[in-house]
Amino acid sequence: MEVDDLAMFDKAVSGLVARFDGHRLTDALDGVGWLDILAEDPAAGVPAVFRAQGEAVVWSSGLHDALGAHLAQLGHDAPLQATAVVVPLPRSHVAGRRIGNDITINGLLLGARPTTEWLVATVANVDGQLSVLRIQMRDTELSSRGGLDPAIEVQRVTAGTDASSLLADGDLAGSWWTASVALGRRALSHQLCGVLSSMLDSARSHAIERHQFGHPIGSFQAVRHKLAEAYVALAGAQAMADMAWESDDVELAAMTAKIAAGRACATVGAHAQQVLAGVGFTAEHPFHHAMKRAVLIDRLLGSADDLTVMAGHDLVTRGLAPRLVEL
Amino acid sequence: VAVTSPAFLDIGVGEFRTGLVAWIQKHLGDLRPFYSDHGTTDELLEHLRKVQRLLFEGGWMRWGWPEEVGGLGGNPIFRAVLGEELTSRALVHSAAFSMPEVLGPAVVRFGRAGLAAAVVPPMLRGDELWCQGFSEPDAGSDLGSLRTSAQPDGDDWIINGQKLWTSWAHHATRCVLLARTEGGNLGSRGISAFLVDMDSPGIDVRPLNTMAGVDEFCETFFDDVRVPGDRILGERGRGWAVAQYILACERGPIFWQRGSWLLHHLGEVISLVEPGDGTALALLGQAYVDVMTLRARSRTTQRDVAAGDMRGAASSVDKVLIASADRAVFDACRVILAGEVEFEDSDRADRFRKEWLYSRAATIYGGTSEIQRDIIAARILDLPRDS
Repeated sequence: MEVDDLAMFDKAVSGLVARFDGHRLTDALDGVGWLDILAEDPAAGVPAVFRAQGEAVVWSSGLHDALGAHLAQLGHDAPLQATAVVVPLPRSHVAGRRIGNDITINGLLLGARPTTEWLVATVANVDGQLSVLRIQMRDTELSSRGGLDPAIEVQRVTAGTDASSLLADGDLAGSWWTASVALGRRALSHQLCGVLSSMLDSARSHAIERHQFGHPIGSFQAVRHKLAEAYVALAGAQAMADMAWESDDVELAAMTAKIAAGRACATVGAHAQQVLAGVGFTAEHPFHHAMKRAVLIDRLLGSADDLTVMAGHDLVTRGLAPRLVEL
Repeated sequence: VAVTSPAFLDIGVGEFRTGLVAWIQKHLGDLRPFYSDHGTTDELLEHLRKVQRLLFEGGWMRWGWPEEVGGLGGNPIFRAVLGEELTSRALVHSAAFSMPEVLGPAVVRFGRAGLAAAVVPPMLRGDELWCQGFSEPDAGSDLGSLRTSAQPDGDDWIINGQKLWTSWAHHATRCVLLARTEGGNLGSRGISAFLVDMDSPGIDVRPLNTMAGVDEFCETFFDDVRVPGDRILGERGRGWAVAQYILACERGPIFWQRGSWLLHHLGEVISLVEPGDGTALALLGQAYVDVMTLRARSRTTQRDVAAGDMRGAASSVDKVLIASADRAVFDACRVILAGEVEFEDSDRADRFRKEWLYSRAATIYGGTSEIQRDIIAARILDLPRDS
C-alpha cells in the first residue's frame, strides 16, 4: 500500500470508529475497502483498523474477517461477507472436536456479519490433529450471550455435523489454522494496545484534574509511578505488536505480541483503575467499558497466562530461544 | 576482509552480519574465553583485551566509528551487531564489552581537536580501558548534587573529591569525570566534564567487592589531581549535556547486546526444562517475552541512535524494560537450574550465581527504575510537577 493511500485509509477509519459501532461499523469499513486491504496488505490495514477500534472501544466483524483472510487456500470460494470463522472458547485452541466421523462445533461468534451464510470451524481429534469444516449458518444453534461486555454481540454457536462438511484436514488444516490464528493474534494485539491507550489517557487526565490535599493527584509520586509503569507496559506491548509484522517467525512473534499485550492489560488495568479510584468504579464514567473490553480481548485466541506457558513449551520443543527479528 | 576496504560503506546490516559471523566462526578458537567459570575481573579483562585486538586488526572493531578516530566509517548500527554477535556466543562478557560504547562517542563528540584521534584508537584496540567517574557517595540518583571540584590553575584544572561505582577504575587508563567548576549551588548547571589520565599523581583507587563476588566497581579518590585544560569535554559549566549524552549512549548498542546476553543465558537452560513442568515453562515463556519486548523497543532506539537522534526521555522506557528483562531471565534460570545456584560449585553454577546476583542491580545501576519513572511521568506523560 502506498504511503498516501495508507494515510487516507487511516484517516477514514479514524472517522468511522468515532461514529459507528457493531454492524454499522462493519458496513462502514466495507465501504472504505477494508476487505480488499485485508487481502492485499494486511500489514498496513490490520494495525490501522484494530488499533482504531481499540482506541474508540468499538467492535466490528474484523476478528472474523482476519481469521478468514486465508480461506481461499482451502478452496472456500464464498466471499468473507457471507462467511464467519468460529472463534474458539477461552482455554481452547480450536472450536470443537472430532471423533471419527462425528464432529461437534462449539465456539463463539463476536459481531459476525448478519449476512453470514457459512460458518467455518477448526476442530481437533483426540490426537490433536486438526480438521477444518464448513456448515450452513442455518444448520447451527445460536444463543446470544450478554457476558462481561454486552456492547459486543456475542453468540455461542454449537452444531453437530460429519466429515462430509470437511474443507481440509492434515497438514493443510494445521498450517491454515496456525497462520489464521497468528493473524488474529496480531490484530487483537493492536486492538488491545488501542484500548489500553484509551484507559491510560483517561487515568492521566484524571490525575491532572483531580485535586486532593490541595494538589493535583498527578503530582504525587505514588500516582506518577503507577502511570509511568502503565506507560512502559503499553509501550513495550505496542513495540511487540509492530515487530510481529517484521518477523519471519510469524507464529511465535504473534503469540509473544499477544502475551505482551495481555500482560500490559493487567498492568494498565490495575494502575489506571487505582488512579481513577472511586469514579472509575461508577457506571457513568466510560472507563469500565474499556476495562471490560480489554479483559475480553485478552481472553480471545489465548490469554497472556495460557500463551506464556505455550510459548515456554514452544521454546523447549525448539531447544533454543530465537531472536525473532534482526536489526 | 581487508581493513582498508571501504566495502561496508555501501552494504546493509545483513551483509555486515554475514561477514562478521563468518569471521567469528573462523576465529572461534582464539575468541573463546580461556576460563570456563565466570572468570575473575583480571581474567575477563585480559580476555577482552585479546578479543578487542583481534577485532581491531580484522577491522570489525572499527566499522561504524568515524574515520577521524581510527574507524572505518559505515553505519553506526554495525556496532550494535558486533556486540550482539559476540555476547550471544558469550565470547565477551556483556558488562565489560560495553565500555567503548558508553564513553567513546562522548569523547568523539565533545573532545577538543585531536583528543579523540589520539585516545579512541587505543581504546578500541583494547590497549586502554576507560572508566566513568559520575556517581559520588552523596550523589547517586541526584547526580546534579555532586561535589567533586575542579579549580582553575593557569591553563590546568585541579581536581579534588571522591567518586563511587567507577567500574574497572583499578584497570583503567583514563576516566571521563564530572566535576563542579562553578561555585555556588547551581546543581546540574555548574558541572564540567573532563578526560583524566588515571596515572596522574593524586588518584587513589580502592576496589569495592560486590555481593556477586566481582570487584568491578571502585571508589576513586582525587587529591589535587592536575588535568590539562585541553582535556575538558564540551564547554566549561556544560558538563551536564555531556553526562546526558553518555546516559543516552548507554541505551544504544549496549542495551541491544545486553539483550543478546540475556537471550544466550536463557537459551543455555532451555534444554533442562521438562515439557511437563508448568512452573518452569511459565517462567521461561515470561522471561522470553520480556527479552523480546526489550528487543522490539530497543530495535527502534538503535535506528534512532544510529541516525543521531539520542531520544532523551523515551530511552527511560528502554531502561525500565531492560531492568525487568534482566531480573526475569536470571530468576527463570535460577529456578530451572533447580538448586545449582544455591547448592553447587561447578563452573556453570558459579557463572549463573554471579549473573543472578548481578541482575539484582539491574533496577539500580545506570539510573534507578524510580528515576526513570520520574522522567517518564514528567517528560512523556507531562504530569503536573510537585507543587
